[in-house]
Amino acid sequence: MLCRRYCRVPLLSVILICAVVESPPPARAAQGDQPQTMHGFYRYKVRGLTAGAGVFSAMLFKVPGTYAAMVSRVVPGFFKILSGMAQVSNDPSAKEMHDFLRSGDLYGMDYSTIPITAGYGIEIEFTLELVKKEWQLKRGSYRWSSDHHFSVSPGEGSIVENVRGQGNGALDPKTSSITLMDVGKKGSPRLELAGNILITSGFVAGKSVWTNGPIRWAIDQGKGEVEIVMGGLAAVRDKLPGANEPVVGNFSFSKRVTPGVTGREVYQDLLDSGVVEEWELWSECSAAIEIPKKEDELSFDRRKPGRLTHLARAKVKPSFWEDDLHWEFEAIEGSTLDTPPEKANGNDFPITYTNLPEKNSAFKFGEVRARFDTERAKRARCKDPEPHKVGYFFALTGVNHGGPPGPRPDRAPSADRPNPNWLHYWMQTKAGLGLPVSFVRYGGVGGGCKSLLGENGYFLRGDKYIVVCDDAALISENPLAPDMLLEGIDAFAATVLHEKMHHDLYWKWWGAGYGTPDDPDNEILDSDSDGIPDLLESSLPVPPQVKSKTGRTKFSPKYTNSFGYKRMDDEHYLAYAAEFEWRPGSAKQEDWACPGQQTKALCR
Amino acid sequence: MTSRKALVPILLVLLVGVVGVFLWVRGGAGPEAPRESRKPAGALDPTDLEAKLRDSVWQLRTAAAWRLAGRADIPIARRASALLQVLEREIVSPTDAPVFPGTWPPLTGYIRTEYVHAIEELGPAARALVSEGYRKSSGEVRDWYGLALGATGAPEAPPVLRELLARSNDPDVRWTAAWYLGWLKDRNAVSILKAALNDSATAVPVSDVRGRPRRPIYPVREQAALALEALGLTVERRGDTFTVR
Repeated sequence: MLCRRYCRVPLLSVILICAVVESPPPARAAQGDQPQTMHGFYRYKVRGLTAGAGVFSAMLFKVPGTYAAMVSRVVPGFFKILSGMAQVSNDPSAKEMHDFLRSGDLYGMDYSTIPITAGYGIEIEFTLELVKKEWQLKRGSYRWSSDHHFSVSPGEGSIVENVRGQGNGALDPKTSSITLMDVGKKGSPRLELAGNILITSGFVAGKSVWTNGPIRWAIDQGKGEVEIVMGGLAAVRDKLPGANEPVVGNFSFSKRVTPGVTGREVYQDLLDSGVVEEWELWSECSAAIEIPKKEDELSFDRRKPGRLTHLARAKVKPSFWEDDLHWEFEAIEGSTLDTPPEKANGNDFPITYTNLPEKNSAFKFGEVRARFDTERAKRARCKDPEPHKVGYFFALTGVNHGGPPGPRPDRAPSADRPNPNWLHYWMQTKAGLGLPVSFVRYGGVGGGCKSLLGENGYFLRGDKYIVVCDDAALISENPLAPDMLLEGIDAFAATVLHEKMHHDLYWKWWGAGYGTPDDPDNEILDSDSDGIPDLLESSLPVPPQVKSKTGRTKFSPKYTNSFGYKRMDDEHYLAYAAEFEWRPGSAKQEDWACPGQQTKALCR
Repeated sequence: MTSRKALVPILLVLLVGVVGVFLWVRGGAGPEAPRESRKPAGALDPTDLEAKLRDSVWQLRTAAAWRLAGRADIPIARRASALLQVLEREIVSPTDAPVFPGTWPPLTGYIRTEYVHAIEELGPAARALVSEGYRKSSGEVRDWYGLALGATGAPEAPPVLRELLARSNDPDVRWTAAWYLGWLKDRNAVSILKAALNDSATAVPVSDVRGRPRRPIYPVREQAALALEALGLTVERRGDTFTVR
């Protein structure tokens, strides 16, 4: 409470009351939270006799009321506590203490009935810094306002008071103090925020007029003048001491705080005036995204519809800032994110993408971001976490892509399963060699693929397409390059080239009419049963790997295996040689399979 | 110049000297300097490669064998020993898996010949180790050590190979023996090779071209014919019969 110098009595009384009720003992500084500064605010609002700022009402009611409250409430209350006749909690709040003291009034006084309409409020914002293990005021500001109205007409007289005041200013650490101390026991910390600030700015304006018969006593607080008029003539007109000077006073408070928790108390004080106190303390805050991890590999599962779920979790210091986080997640074209942007707030919650996209290009590396989005967090200069780069992938062997089922070999039953993810997506990459989807068909068990390992694909004479099997997505060996093993998308590309070569050779030779009805098994035209027409063999190009090892420069119609170096038939020398057209790794950046060429660890 | 001022240049000289000695030693100018390795960039550690020779996936074992064979930075004795060991393991515990398209079963025959061909890469330097293994082994293992002798081009290999072609019960042994007799240009093998033109072993290559007639072939006959052609003879074929003209 503040007022001019001549109103220090009410101020002193309030300070005394506050000091009796809530004075904290000296104690050690708050234990090391890592931050070096803390921010906070304190607000105090009171309506009632306590806020009275009129001169006459102070003399008539406020001052005597204050002393009466001390005698009838405070002293008896403390006597009861000390004698054990009454108990309050070990750590009473202001409300608890005021309620207790008011409960046993010796005279049954109710100060709220006094016809003073007055209010006072002050708001203090401050920054504390840790200096030698003690939290002290670094800077801050205050803003206060007051209003007062009192009007009575006892007998032939009247007292009318209308006063307003307001002010704001900066806190000077040399003349004001706000401290944060740990006053609890070891292992049971209890933080006390205590302030004693010097108000050095503000003005009060208004008049207090007491009229009693011919005497009129008027005090103009704004001009700082007093005028006493008797019988219509001004008997005294003078300037009051401290006139036109800024309002100066002290304001004190003391609250128990929990950083990050907004404290609030509403109660009636010793003079039955309604009080609202609010406060909050927070340190500079920061966050670091924990989940998803940096470079995390996030994969859709195999369910239908496919889902990709991951947590959004950050390590927030202090943790009470968690609700101030706002997250941003990548959009995946063709997939639905269950958390709309306006709800992506808080910490430690799951988010789910539902449905795999149709396009391979929808998968990508992206970023998961979070930032402190509230005004209070921005005021506290909370540091946003670094975004985390993550990859979005599909399950390699899943069958839940967002595209159509895909063509099957003509002989495959319609009930058999559709093409797997790897085929659907890899056909959209370089590994698909620009071939139409209808040309590379998925075999599966029902489509003619063998159920055991050993066949990546096949070509059936007469088909206008090739068939790839599940092994094509796993591994592919090439006898002409035995030190190289292709895996994943490279194995797929090699398989397509291999089977396409069989297809092309067939339609170039046998399908083009090279065979005759009289020789349905080509025993004459392909006497060595190597798949190559006898008359064409010696003109075919020989793979360079074979030439260098064997010294033989031509295929021969005498031999199923014209070179003898590798244990296989001649047509397969051509088919395996065709695989060298593929450069391993050239589709790496288009490979979004999990596991695949862009994943490092086990996929989740 | 005062004694204090004289310290400065002395200290500078000492510092330069120390740095110089350090760089000289580190730069490898001394006799202890290691030779520059010829290990290919990004290549696996030899221990890792040898571990892959024990992988359960045959394709990985075969690929590792070829990679190991080509690693000039690894001593030949170590490479030869590892390859012979993986060959022995394949003989003792044959791989039982489907063959890949183009070749014929059993797959273990293909794998064994691949290991033998990989030993070829080691050249004559591997002969001593292979010879020792041949002397100390028996049965099927000895047969394949004999083929490995051929792969190293050892002078004692041709008679071993001829014996294998004539006597072995394993078509893959006879097939590989015929290959190396032609590769080594062993003119003393002509009669044995001619006799092998009547070898009875047949095989049906597995193919991923469905609908193609699958007829049995005579792989040893073909290999013997190819070897005879390598020795300058002309071989004719009529049906499944090969004759030397």
